[in-house]
Amino acid sequence: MARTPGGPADVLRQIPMILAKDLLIEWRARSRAFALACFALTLLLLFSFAVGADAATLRAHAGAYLWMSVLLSSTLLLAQSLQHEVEGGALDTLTLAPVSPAALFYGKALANAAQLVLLTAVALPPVIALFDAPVKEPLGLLVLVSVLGCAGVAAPGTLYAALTARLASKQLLLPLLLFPLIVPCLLASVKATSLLMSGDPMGQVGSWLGLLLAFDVLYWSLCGLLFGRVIAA
Amino acid sequence: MNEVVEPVATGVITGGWPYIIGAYGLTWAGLLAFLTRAVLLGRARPPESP
Amino acid sequence: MGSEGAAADRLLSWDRVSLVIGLLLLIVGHYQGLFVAPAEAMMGDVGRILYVHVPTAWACMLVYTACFVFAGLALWSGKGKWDAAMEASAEVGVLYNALLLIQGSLWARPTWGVFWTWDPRLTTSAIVLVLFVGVLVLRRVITEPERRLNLGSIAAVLAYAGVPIVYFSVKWWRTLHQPFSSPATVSDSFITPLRLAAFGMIFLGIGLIGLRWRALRREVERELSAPALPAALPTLELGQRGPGGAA
Repeated sequence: MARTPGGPADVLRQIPMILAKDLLIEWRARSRAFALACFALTLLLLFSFAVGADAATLRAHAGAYLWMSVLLSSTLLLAQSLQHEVEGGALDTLTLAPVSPAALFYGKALANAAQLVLLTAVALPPVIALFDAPVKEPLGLLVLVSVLGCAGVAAPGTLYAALTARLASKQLLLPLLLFPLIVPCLLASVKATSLLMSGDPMGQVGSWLGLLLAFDVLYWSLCGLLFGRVIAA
Repeated sequence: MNEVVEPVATGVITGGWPYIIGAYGLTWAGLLAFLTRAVLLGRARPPESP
Repeated sequence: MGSEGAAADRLLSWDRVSLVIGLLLLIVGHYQGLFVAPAEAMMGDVGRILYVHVPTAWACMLVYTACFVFAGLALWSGKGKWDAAMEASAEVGVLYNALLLIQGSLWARPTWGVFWTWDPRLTTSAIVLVLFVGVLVLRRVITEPERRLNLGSIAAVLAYAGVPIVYFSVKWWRTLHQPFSSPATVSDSFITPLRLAAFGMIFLGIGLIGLRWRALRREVERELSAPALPAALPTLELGQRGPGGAA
């Protein structure tokens, strides 16, 4: 019955399994997640030192620092997410198992997105405290921006992590390929976050959310289609 | 949303030939360099293995 | 493929013809733009950079589009010739794109007093340049031909698909009004050199792609048909299940 992978019902059934598997692995190695969070916080401090102790400038760019620290940490997280599969040869086993590549991709991408949202949530209070940038608009909107922004990083990020996983120079190639691609996502996330922190009298957040949504739809569908070719190669 | 940058110059711009020569010169230099590279790489035949 | 290979070595191959046509058109177009066309009303002589800049931009867009099509064909057919065409057009696209940025900077300096403005078109072309340089670097790094075909083409498809959304995001992010006159409204003395140079750049691009394609295709097809290197053997065994040729 479940012998033919690839049917929509199968894919939908398999996604939570892959998601749970990946989250379980990350939970067991939670000291690594802690180290990653510390890295993100270190970056926040570094931005402040590089810019200087001018409170007004720091406050104006708080959203940018938040997203840059998440983005720079994200490549470490994304590269890790496929490391087990590649090192243990588990990717070949997974592709032999009746798991559709689409399910594998969406499960992994969701796991990565969830971890990135968590990282954003951990980094937000220090951003508010360090840069004296309280959130003036409803917090729910910021949660929405963070979910959409992290999803935008996670989809192409998971694909490129798989694409570069077996290359010797993967540490260089993953950010080289990923960062220019997610410029629209970064722009929209930073702009929306800054507006939510400083207040949005003109109601501009909506258009940035729309851009994020368009970016997510484009790359979540495109990367899901192409992932099968990446792991087959 | 952001400040709109207006062109700085208000009158007719005069001169600027160094920039014009630079733009055309570098373009031709780039095109010819690529062409030369392509021709050289095209000549270098790898050992044929039929 | 044998007959094509023989035709390729003839003196009058399509890429050489296109190359010569392109170079001639470009020489005539640039000569007219530099010495025949009148100086632009506002920008003076600096406006002459238009005749090299705008054609490069148009041709660059077309070359990237060709690269996207070739990447799609390579993914769909798994054939080395499309893979080689993809790399050839990505190379030419990167060349045109780099020239575009240099010309843009040299135009911006006397016009606005800065080498760089965050104009949406300029910024987008810089991002796209990095994206396609990434594709080329990725291809250089992968040694196994089948994986290079698949992964390189996927990266090219993703890069090209991102161009419109990059453009719109940068446009919203910072809008810089650039008073370009559209070709429809300017006089013939401007249009003729612009058209000549544009077709020159396009024919030259076709010629350069053809020239690179020929060399790359020999390599790629030799590698794809050659018995795999020992290091690549495990992949080849997995390949029995169908990747690479898949479609």
